[in-house]
Amino acid sequence: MQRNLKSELTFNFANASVAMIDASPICIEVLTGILSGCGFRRMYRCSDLRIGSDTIKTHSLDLILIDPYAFGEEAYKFVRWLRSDQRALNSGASIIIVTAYTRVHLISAARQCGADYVIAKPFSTAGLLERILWVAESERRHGELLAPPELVSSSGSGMEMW
Amino acid sequence: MSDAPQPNRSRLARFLNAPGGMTREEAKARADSKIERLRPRSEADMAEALKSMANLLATCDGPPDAAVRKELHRLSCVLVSLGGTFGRAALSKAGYSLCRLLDELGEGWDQSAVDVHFNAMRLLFTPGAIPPEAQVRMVEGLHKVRSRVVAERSPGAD
Repeated sequence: MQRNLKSELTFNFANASVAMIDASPICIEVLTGILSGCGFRRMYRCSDLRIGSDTIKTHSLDLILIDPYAFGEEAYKFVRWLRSDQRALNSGASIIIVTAYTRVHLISAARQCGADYVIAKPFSTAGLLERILWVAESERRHGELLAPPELVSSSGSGMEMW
Repeated sequence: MSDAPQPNRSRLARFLNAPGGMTREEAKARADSKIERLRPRSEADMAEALKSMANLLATCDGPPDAAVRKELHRLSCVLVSLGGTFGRAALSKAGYSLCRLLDELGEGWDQSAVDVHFNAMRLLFTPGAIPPEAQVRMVEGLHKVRSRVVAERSPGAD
C-alpha cells in the first residue's frame, strides 16, 4: 500500500522563532492566531521596520514574515540588508513576503531582494501553513523563488483561496 | 537524527518530524479556531474601512490628490485581506478590483468607476444583501468596468 508521506508529516515549531513585520494590527493578530495554532510560541510582533530591525539584531529567528505594503521600497531594502551579511545572526532565516496586493512587479522585487516566497493575502490557515512547510522542506536558495508556479499568484491576490 | 548544521537546509527543517509534533490537520483546526475569535474585530475593521472610504470619496470634487488615492488604496487592501480571510471572498475580490483600478489609472481618475466599486463593496459587506450567485456576477461586472475604463484611457485608445 502506498504511504501518503504528505499527510504523515508532523512538525513541532514550539522552539522555533518567528518575527512578523506588518503595519496592520489586525493582520498581525491574524498571523499570530494562525502561527500559534501551528505550534509557534516564540513570536515577535513588529509594527514597523525599526522594530523589525531591532528584533532581527537581538533574536535568533527561523522565520520572518513581512508585509511590505506600508513600507514600500524600504521593505525590500530591509530584506536585502538582512541577506547581505552572511555572518549576521539572521541572514539565513527563511523570509516570506505576505501582501494583499500581489502584482508581477512585486514578485520580481521579492525575487531580487532575497525573499523565499511571496504569499498573497487573503490566505487561508492551510494556505499559510503549506507555504511555511514548503519553505521548511526546501533547500535554501534565497532569491531564486523556486516555488511551484501554481502556488505563486502573478495575476491577482489570493490565489490560494480562490 | 543529526543536529549538525546543514548549510543548504532551511532553519525550519529541524522542526519537521520533531518529537511532540502535530499534523497538518491538527494545526489547521487549531489555527482556524484561533482566528475565528478575531471575526468580530475583523468585521469592525472592515466597517471602519468602508466608512473612511465613504468620507474620503465625499470630499472628492474632481480627481483627488495622491495622498487620498493612496489612502483609498490602503483601505481597499484592508478589505482584500480581511474579507478573504473571514469568508467574504466577493468583497475581497471587489476590493482587489478597486486597487487595480487605482493602480492602472495612474494619475488618471474615473469617478463613476470608483463609485461603482465602492457601492458594490458596501453592498457586499452587508450580510445577506446579495445572494451568492449575484455576488459572482457583481465581481465580474467590476472587472469589466475596470478593464473598459483602463482601456479607454490607455494610449492609443479611441
